Amino acid sequence: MRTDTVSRALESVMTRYSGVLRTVGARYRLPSADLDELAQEVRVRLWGALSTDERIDAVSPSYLYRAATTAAIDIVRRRRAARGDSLDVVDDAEVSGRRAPATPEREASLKELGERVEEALQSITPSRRPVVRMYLAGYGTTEIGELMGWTEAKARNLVYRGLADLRLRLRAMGIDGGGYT
Amino acid sequence: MIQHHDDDRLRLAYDASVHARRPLSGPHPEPEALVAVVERTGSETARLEILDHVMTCAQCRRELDLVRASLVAAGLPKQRTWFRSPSVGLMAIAATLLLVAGVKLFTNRGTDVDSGPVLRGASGVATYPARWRSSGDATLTWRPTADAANYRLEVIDESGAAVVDSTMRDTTFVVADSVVRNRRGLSWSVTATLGDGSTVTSLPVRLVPPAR
Repeated sequence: MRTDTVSRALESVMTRYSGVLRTVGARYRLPSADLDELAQEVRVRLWGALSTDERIDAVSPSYLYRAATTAAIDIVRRRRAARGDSLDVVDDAEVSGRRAPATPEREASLKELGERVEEALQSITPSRRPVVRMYLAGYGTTEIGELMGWTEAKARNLVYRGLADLRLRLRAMGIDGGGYT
Repeated sequence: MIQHHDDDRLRLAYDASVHARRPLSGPHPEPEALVAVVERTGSETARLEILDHVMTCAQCRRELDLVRASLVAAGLPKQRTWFRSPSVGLMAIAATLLLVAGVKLFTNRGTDVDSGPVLRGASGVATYPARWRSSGDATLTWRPTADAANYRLEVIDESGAAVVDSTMRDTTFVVADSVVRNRRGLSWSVTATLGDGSTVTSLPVRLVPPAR
């Protein structure tokens, strides 16, 4: 009887958590295997706590939050340990699926431009560089603002200025506004 | 919109280079540091340093996204931003009241835009060039946007901090001399919220006081 109550409470919380996780995970382009693993970790944590707790009628939001935090941390640690704590070898298997297929020539041209972009990034003001990197990595100004706690306008302004710096450096290297053809 | 037609190519190139080489800078941040970035705890400088590495490292990026997804799904607490800070918030309210008073004072004296419109911004909200008064105040004006419920004016300084952040129905705003004086690298933009809840934004325009 008590197990049923625990299960119902747990399923209710997990349904809500997993639903939002799917939506957010899709926005961040996370593989579904990652989301499944995360949801399973959180489920195990909640089950372990609830099955020994006498007051199980509701899972507090703060407990769920702690469980979600430790679950994510543990997954990251476990993966790093499995890789021998060496992230130098970049696993391109999943990310390559997200990118548009390119011809070898196009890929080589992009890599070459990417190297020049990195060179130019090294010479811009360090405080502006992370924001430009975020933008180039595919983050929009709204997302950058959310991540940093800035208004979208502030994020847009910093991206705008950082990109202007970057383009100046690229022009000085003989690359016109990033066009490298 | 900032998006230039070259941005996509720059992004593709950056992506190609990130996935083709080893991460460039520093050791990989601990998972707790990724949590701190998502929760916005610790100094902004420290978080930007972490992000500077994360954005060069495909694995760290994926780990950051994993942490973000988990925390957001569990109900990431609302973080304090500058306008939610009690002290700064009170100052902002006081500054807004002063500015509103300034707007009333000057709009009663008539409009500033007496010459032909020189609009900036091909799409979104179109702005007029700022008009400077002899007192040092700046009048900012933009063209009414169809179906706009309100307009949010933001003036940002060199560091990106908002010195004016005000929402109104009017299409003109006077920024007092005391707000712009001794500040460098100011720029302003207007975001219109439309009836359906969507927004359109002007291009950021520099706000440079005339030489005295």
